[in-house]
Amino acid sequence: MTEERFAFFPGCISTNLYPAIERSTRLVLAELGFELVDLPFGCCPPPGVLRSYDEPTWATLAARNLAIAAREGLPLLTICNGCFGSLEEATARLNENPGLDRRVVRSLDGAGIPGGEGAAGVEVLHILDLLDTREAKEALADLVVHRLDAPVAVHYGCHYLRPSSRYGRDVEDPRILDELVELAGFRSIPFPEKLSCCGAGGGVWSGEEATSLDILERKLHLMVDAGAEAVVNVCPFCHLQFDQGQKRLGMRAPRLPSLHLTQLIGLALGMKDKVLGLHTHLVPARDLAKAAREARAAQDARD
Amino acid sequence: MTGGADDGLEEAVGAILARADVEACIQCGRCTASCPAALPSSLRARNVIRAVQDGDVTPVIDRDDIWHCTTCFSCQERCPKGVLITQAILWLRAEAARRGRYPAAHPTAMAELARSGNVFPLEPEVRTVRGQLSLPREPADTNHAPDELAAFHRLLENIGFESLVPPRRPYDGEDDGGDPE
Repeated sequence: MTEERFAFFPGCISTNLYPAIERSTRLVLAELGFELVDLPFGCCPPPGVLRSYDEPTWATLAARNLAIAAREGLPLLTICNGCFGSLEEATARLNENPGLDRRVVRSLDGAGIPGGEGAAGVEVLHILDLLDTREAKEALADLVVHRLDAPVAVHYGCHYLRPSSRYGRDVEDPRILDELVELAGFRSIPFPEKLSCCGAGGGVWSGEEATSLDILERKLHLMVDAGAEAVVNVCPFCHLQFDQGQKRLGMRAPRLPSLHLTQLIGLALGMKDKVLGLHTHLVPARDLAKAAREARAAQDARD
Repeated sequence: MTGGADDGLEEAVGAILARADVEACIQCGRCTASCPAALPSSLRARNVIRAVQDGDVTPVIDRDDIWHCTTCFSCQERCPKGVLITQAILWLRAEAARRGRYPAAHPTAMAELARSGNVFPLEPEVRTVRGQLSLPREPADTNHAPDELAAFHRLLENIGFESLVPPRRPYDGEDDGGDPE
């Protein structure tokens, strides 16, 4: 792999609400040979809430994070579509608008924050792109110890794929996440409206709860009706929506455990469900955890 | 009514029209058909874009509709004319917010961002969970790096973060049950 060290940007939902995702990411990426460097980042900031109010302010706060990575000369690794969308889009804005870039650098300088002139040049990566290389997939295939073969619904989320004009990914029939899930020994099942939104983004989660929950309810039913035993996400904000949202929906929604991709991969690598923190979710993945424990016990019996 | 003829709205709408290529819209409605918020709310992307074309966005920014957009970009992705629909909605929101129209819950998130550097704060019980998961009880973030936090606060002060938006005013129809909530 060409780049093995990354400025790790866990995002405030994984550190402050779902530390199980932070923990699982650290464990899995260490197994795969990636080194994560911890830096004093703050909120990405939220692309839905803050960007709606004032783009220059949003770009300035994003640039502060980019400056922190620039000081270390490291590419920045996100595990969240919100953080990715915000930081990647901010680098685009700074690059296409030199006037904005100068203004942002001046603001950072004025506050005594070094590294601003390097902000626009920081490479922002999403964990899916890190795992979607031949080397990472080969390493992953070698490390998988259990094939649990459970049917799961994959959720790409919006801001990893769209806008395609920016990222150039296949937004009609993406396979990146499906392939990783299958490499880890799970079955990615087809279901309607697979690429649709979870309902959390754009400041709607906090600002317009009824709309947010209606969108989620529809999505959960489509996944469960197709036979999913869990939903696999690549975004702690989508994860928060799936996990907490089911509690908010109460009896209106079927129960469907949510796992961040790194938690699913952790199970496939033989890591214990308690270590991956599956029990810390509001809707714990009990069946998957049990299947993983049984697979490990069977393995131990063979050894 | 929002503001007067001299409050810069006309100029802002002209800029949105040009930057988002709104003139290219043929009113086919694929945006509204693609919109996950169109079922549970009264957001109609086509009508929003039409208002920008007509230069009459006051009824749009005085209502809550545009704040139901999850910014999923499905409309923009599917627009046959390449109109930057999601982006136009974000720019319209900024104009609405400058006139005091925004969701009542957002100031709490903004205040938390200004205080701790994160919109989602670290709750005491999560410290315990972090410890149980063999993570440091406090993450290595801005909030736990005193020098970085001080610099962050200086930055917010310098750019006038506190006065980013005026006090909130109810949406049109909010008090008489017009809000879909």
